[in-house]
Amino acid sequence: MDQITKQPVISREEIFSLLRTFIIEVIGDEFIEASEIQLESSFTRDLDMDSIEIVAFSEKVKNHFGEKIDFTGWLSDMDLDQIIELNLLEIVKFIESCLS
Amino acid sequence: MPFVKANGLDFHVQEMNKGAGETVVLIHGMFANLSMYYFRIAPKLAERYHVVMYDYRSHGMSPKASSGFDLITLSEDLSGILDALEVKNYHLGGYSYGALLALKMAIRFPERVKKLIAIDAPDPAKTDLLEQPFDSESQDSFDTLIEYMHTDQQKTKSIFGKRRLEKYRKNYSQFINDSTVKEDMYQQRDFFEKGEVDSIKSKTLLLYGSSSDCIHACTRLNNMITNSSVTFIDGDHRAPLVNPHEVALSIETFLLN
Repeated sequence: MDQITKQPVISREEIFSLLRTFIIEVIGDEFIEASEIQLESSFTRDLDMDSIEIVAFSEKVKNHFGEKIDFTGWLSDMDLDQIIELNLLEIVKFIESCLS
Repeated sequence: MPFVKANGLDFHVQEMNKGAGETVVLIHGMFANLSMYYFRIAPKLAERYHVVMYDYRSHGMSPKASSGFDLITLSEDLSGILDALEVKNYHLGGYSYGALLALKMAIRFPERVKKLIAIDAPDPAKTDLLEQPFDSESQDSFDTLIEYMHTDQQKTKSIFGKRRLEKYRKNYSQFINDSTVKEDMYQQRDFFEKGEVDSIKSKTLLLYGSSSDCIHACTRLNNMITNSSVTFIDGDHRAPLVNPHEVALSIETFLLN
């Protein structure tokens, strides 16, 4: 008989820690330190990421969470202002909502 | 990140909705990268189609190259990528210089290109449009490039940080000074004069910003391509960047009809 294993719930802190790792991998640790990346940090204004870096970040989110997270679909409904102002807390909340 | 080997280089390629029956290939403009489609145009088209995007050589996350920015070499890059992905035929859309590349693909591979979308294709004979970005000593030229790479100069420039500006300056300077991009683009100036474009049989959408400085090219292409139609959207040459939803909708409507 197959045993059904319940997916462990990932905490907000763990999601944030993952996203922080992704951002450092994309930007490079010579340019940014973990302590500079906060929940309130926005991609553009605070982290100074450009669009192709956000693509790389999105790919890491998609590869890690798989089809449970339609990250690009979520972004596609936003206008430019929203993407510019988007911060990590909003992304963490979106991922939480997809996993719950 | 997904990379595909073609024409001797490992290209950064993104796909959405791989299982769909029909494929739409999207080509970005010179000095840009696939992110112009990735966030807002491609996901909308991917609701129905398999979407393929890639970064040109020396653009986005694809590797640097010192030459090969002419339409023949770029079309070999793209056909090699599509061979590697086993995409046999496809609808093809391109923006600005990428629209010229889309036209070149339709000329070289007519059996593979189904419908064609040329978004704000410039007239390559109007070389004055190319002059400013190649004056690498000029602060204005860098700002012009930044303006073209982003939708709203005032909005984005005010929040550019030091790292990003330095990155752009370094990449831009290397690209302009250490590659054949300028010569390669100038080589295309007689592209509309050679009679090749007249041979395009694919059903073609000419999608232009209503106040674009490339609009005369729209008239020329509409006269040259037998099976073409024109759609205007609000804005100038950057209209696809400013109005991505309208672009996605126009493309989808054209593909469905």
